[in-house]
Amino acid sequence: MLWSRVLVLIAISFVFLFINGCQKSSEVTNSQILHVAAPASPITLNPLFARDAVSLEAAALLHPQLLGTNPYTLEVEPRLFASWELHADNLTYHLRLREGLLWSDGTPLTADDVAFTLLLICHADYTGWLYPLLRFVEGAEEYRKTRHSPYAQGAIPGIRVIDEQTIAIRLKQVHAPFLSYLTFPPLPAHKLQNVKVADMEEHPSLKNVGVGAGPYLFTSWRPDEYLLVRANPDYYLGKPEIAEIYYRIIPNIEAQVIELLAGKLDLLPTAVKVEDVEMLAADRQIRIHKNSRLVYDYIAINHKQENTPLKDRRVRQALAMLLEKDELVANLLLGFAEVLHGPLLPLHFAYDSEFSQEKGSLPAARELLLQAGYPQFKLKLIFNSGNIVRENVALLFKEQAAQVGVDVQIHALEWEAFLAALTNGDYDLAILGRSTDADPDLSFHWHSQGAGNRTGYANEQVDRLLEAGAAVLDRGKRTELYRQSQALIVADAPIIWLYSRQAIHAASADLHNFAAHPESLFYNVHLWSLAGRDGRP
Amino acid sequence: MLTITDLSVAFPASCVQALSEVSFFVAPGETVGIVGESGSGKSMTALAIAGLLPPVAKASGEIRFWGRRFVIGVSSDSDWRAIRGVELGVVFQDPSIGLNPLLSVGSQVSEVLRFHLRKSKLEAEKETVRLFNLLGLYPAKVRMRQFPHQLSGGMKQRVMLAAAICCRPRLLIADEPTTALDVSVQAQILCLLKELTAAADTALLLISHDLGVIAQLAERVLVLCAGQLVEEAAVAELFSRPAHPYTRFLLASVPRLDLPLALKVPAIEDNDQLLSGCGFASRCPERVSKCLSNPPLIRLSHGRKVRCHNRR
Amino acid sequence: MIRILLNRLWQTVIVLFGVTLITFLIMHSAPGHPLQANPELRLDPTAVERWLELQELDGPLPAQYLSWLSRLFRGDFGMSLIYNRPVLELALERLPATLFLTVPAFLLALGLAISCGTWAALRQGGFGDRLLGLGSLAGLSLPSFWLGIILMMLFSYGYPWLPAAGMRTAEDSSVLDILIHLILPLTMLVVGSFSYYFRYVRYAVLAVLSQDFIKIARARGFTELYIVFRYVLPNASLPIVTVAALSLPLLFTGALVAEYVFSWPGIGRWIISSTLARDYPVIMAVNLSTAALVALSNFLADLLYLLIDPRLRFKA
Repeated sequence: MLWSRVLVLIAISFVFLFINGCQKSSEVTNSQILHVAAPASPITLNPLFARDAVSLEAAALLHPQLLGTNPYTLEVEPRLFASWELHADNLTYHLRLREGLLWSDGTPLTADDVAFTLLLICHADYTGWLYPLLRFVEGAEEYRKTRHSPYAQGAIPGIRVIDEQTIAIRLKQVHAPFLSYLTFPPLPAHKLQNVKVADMEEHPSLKNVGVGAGPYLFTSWRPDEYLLVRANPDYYLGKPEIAEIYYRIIPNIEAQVIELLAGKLDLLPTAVKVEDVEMLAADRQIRIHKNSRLVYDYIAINHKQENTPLKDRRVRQALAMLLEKDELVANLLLGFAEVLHGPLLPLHFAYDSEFSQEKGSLPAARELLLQAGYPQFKLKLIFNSGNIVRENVALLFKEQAAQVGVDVQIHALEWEAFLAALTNGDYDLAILGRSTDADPDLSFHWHSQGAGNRTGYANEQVDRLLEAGAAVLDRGKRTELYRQSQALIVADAPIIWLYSRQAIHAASADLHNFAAHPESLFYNVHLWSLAGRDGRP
Repeated sequence: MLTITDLSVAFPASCVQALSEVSFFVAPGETVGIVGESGSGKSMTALAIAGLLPPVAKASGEIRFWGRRFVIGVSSDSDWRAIRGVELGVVFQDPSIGLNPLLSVGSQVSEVLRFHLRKSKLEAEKETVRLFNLLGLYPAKVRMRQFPHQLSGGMKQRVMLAAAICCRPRLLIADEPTTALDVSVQAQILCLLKELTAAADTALLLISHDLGVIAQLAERVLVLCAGQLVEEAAVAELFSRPAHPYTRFLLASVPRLDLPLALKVPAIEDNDQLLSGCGFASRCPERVSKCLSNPPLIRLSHGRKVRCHNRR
Repeated sequence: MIRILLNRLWQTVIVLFGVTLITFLIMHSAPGHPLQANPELRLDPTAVERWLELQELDGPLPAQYLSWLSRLFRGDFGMSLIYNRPVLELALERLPATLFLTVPAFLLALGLAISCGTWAALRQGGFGDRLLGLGSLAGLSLPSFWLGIILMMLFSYGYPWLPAAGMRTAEDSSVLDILIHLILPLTMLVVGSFSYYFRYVRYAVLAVLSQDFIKIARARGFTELYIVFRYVLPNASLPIVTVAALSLPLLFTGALVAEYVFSWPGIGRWIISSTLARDYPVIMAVNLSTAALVALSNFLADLLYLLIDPRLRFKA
C-alpha cells in the first residue's frame, strides 16, 4: 500500500516536472534569444587567463573593459574608466571610474578591484599573457621577481588607489601606447583576493556563480555544447536589448552554414569562408558584415641557416617583388582583404596609404638575383595543410619564382609537423599569420629585444626609431617615426607581407545594429536587437 | 500406412539423378530395410519422406502417410511439420554432430515432448527420465544434465533415438543408425531399435549399406542401385535367392571367413550412361545389349519385384 | 572455470600495467607542450616558464612515472593542461552525451544486424539477401564522414527537417528535442556499424545452418522460428559476441567522426581537440582507459563464452 502511494506521488511529480519544463521553454520566446556559432568551446571564462579567440570572445560578454579603442580609428576611448589625465611628468596617469558601477552581486566596483587586478597580472604565478603590457609600471618587474605570497597581495609602488573611483598608475619611463594596453577587464577582488593566483584560472566564482559586470551574465555552460548568458539589467551602458545569447559550439563549419540557412543560428562571426559569401548573400534572410582586423598573413624568411642565399638582402627583396598582391587579394580572397606592403596596418593611425613596395616586376627581381650572384637556387616553402588560401598563395609564389630561376618546393604540413618545422628551422619560407597591437608601436615584432621578435630581426636604426616612437606622446611625431621605421624594415625585406584579411560575419537580417570591433566581436552587443523577429510565428 | 509413388530426385546443377521413380510401401509395424552402396539414393529417400530435401533438389512424386497426402515439390514445409517428430521419427547417421552442443541432452529430448505434446516442464522431464532409463542411459538424472560433448557416440545415438521416439511415432526412419559406432555398440543400438519398435508397434524404415544389419532386423528389403529400386523381397528370400545381379554382387561383397576375398569388384565407372538403361549395366557381369535400355520392374511371386532384363 | 577467469584477470592486470609504462614513455618522449612555439598565439615567455613549473612538467622520468602511477591508483588522471581542470571531471562532463549517442546506436545496429543477418542467411541467395549484402557492402565502403555530410545535406539543407548540429535547441529543451537532434548522428553511426555486424551475423548463421543438428531439429518437427531462437542464434552467438565486445570501448571513447560532423558534445570531440592541442594528461588518460576498456570487454566476452558454451565451461 505504502509503496504504491509513493509510486503514484513520484509519477505525479514527474508529470509536473514535464509540464513545468514545457512552460519554461515557451516563456522565453525565440525572438529574444540570439543564437551565435562558435567553432570551439571556450576553455576558460576567466578573461585574464584566456589565450584562445573563443575564450576571449566569451569573456568579453561577461566582463567589461577598463578602457576601449574606437572600432574605426583605434583611438583610446572611455569604458569603465570614464576619464583620465596625464600629469606633467608624462609618467603618472590618474584614471577615474564611472559613478555607481556594480558587480552583478550588488557589490560596488571600485578602484580597489582595479588595483587587485593589476597586482594579479604582475604576480609571479600569473600564467596569462598580459604581464608584458604592465612591465613599464614602476615596481612591476620587482614585484614579479619576488614571490612573497601565493595571493595577489602586497604593493607595487607605481600603483596607488586614490579614492573609491580613482587609481593612479606611474610608469618608470614614458610609454605612449600604455593606455591602449588597459583594455582588459577587472576581476572582483571581494571574490578572489583569498584565492591563490595559481588556482585562479578555474575558480568557480567566475563560472558557476558568475560575478561579472559585463553586458551579459553567466547562466549556464555545457562544455563543447553551449554557453548561455542573460542580459545584465545593471550593465553600466544600459540593459542589452537581446534577452539571452545562446552561444552554440559547432566545430563543423558546414554545419554552421546549414544551421544559419535553416534559421537555427542568427550569427556566424568572423570566420565565414570567402567562397561561401556569395551563396549566403543570395539568401534574403541573411546579411553579410565585414570589418578590418589587426591581423595579417606573411611569408617568413629563414635566414639563419648556413650558406643560404636568403642571407643576402637583394635576394629577399627580389622574392618580395614576385607576387602580384592586388590580383591575389582580388582572385583568392574575393576582395575580402587589404594588400599589405609593410608592418603598419590600415587601421593604425600611422598607416601610410601611399607607401608601397616596388611593383611586382619579374625583370627587376631577376636583375637583383643576378646582382647578388644567385641566378638559380632552390627554396623550401612550408604551410599548414588544409588552409586553401595559403595553399593557393604557395602555388602562385612557386609559379612566379620559377620565372626568375628560383625552384620553390612546396610542403603542406600537418599542424604538428608545421610547428616542429618552424621550431627546428627546417624551412626556407613559411606562410604564417600574426596579430598586432592597436597602437602602431612596432616594437613587439621588430625591436631587436621585442618579445615577439622570433625572426631575430635586428637593425640598430630601427631600434632607436621605435624607442623614440614610444617615448614621445605627440601623435604627429609618432606617425613620422613609425613611417620611417617601416621604410627601413621593408628595405631589409625580413618577411614578405601579403595581406590583412577582413573578418566576414554572416548574420540573420533580423539582427540590427551589429557592428564588430577589429579586436572584439561583442564590443557594442548591448545595442544589438532582433527587431523584425516578433512578427514571426 | 506409408506409400511412396514415383519418387524422383535430381540435382540439375551437378547433373545427378539421385532417385528415379521409386515406389514402395511400409505396412504398420513392419520393418523395411533399404540397402545399396553409398550414392545409391538411400538417404535421399529418407530425407524425401521427411520433407527435408535440400532446396536445390528437383523432386517429384507422391507420399501417402496415414491418410495424409504429400506431393513432393508442392506440399509446404508446414504440411510436413504436422507429421515430423510426432508421427514420423528420424535418426541419422552421425550422432556426434546431430545434437545441439549448447543444450543439455535431457532438454533436447524433453523439448520435443513439450513442443509437440504440450507437456509441462516437469512432466516432460519425468518422461525423459523414463526414456533414458529405457534406453540404458544410466543414471538418467545425471545423464540428462550432461552436454553432448560429455557423452560417447553410443550414448549420443541413444539420446537421438529417445528424441525420435518420445512422441511414439508410427514410423521411425533410421538412416545408417550404427555406421559411425563401434561394433559392440552397434549391436546394442540395433537391439534397442528392435525392442522399441516392437514394443510400440512402430514401423521401422531401416537404411543401411550393411547387409548384416538388414538381415538382423528387416522383414522386407528394398535394394537401391543408382537411384533405382532394383529388387524388393522378403528378407529370407533375398538372402537365399537374390534375383538381381546387383543384389548378388552386394551379397558377395560381404567379407566372409569361409571364402577368399577374391571377388572382382568392378568400380563405378562413368555415370553418363546410367541416365538411361539399367543403373548397374556398366558394372554388370551378366550384361547383355538390352541392358542399355531401362528394364521394367517385374513383379514375381510373394510380392517380389525385380528390375532386370536378364533375370533367372 | 573460476581458474580460467582468474587467469584471465591476472593477464589483464599485467597488460594494463605494460600499457601505463608504454603510454608514459611515449608521451614523455613526444616533443613540445601545448603552449609551445605556436607563432600565431601571443604568449609571454616568462609566463610560459612559470606555467610549466606549475604543471610539474619537469623532474626525472622514473620519479614522474611513479607519482603518476600512484595518482592513477587513487583515481586521479591528472589535470588537463589546456583546461587546467581534472581530466576525470572533464571526461565525466562529456560522458552522458556520448553514451546517449553510442549506446542506442550500438543496440540498434546490433539488433538490426542480428535480425537482418539471420533473415538473410535463412534466405541465402534470395533477393532480400542479395539486397542486404549489397547495402552492407556500400555501408562499409562509404567513408562515414562522407555519409554524415550527405545526410546533413539531405535532411538539414535540402529538406530542412532535422538539425545539423548540437544536441538541443535551447537550454531547457524537452527530451523530444534531444531525440530529434539524435536522429542524424545516430543514423550515421548505425549505418556504419550495422553493415559491419550484419556480415558477421550472416556468416555465423550460415555456418550454423549447415550443421547436421539443424537438419535434425527440422526432422523433429520444430518450427523455423523455434529453431532460429533455440538452435541457430545461440550457436551463432560466439562470433557475434566477439565483434560486439570489440566495439564496446567505442561506446565510451565516443564516435569521433559522428561527434565532429554533427557537433555532438561528447567525449570523442574532446579527444580530437585535446590530441591536436597536445594535452598530454588527456591523451594518456584516454589511452589508458581505452586499453582498460578493451581488456575489460575481452574479459566480458570470455565470461559470455563460458555462459553460452558448455564445451568451454567443462574444459578446465
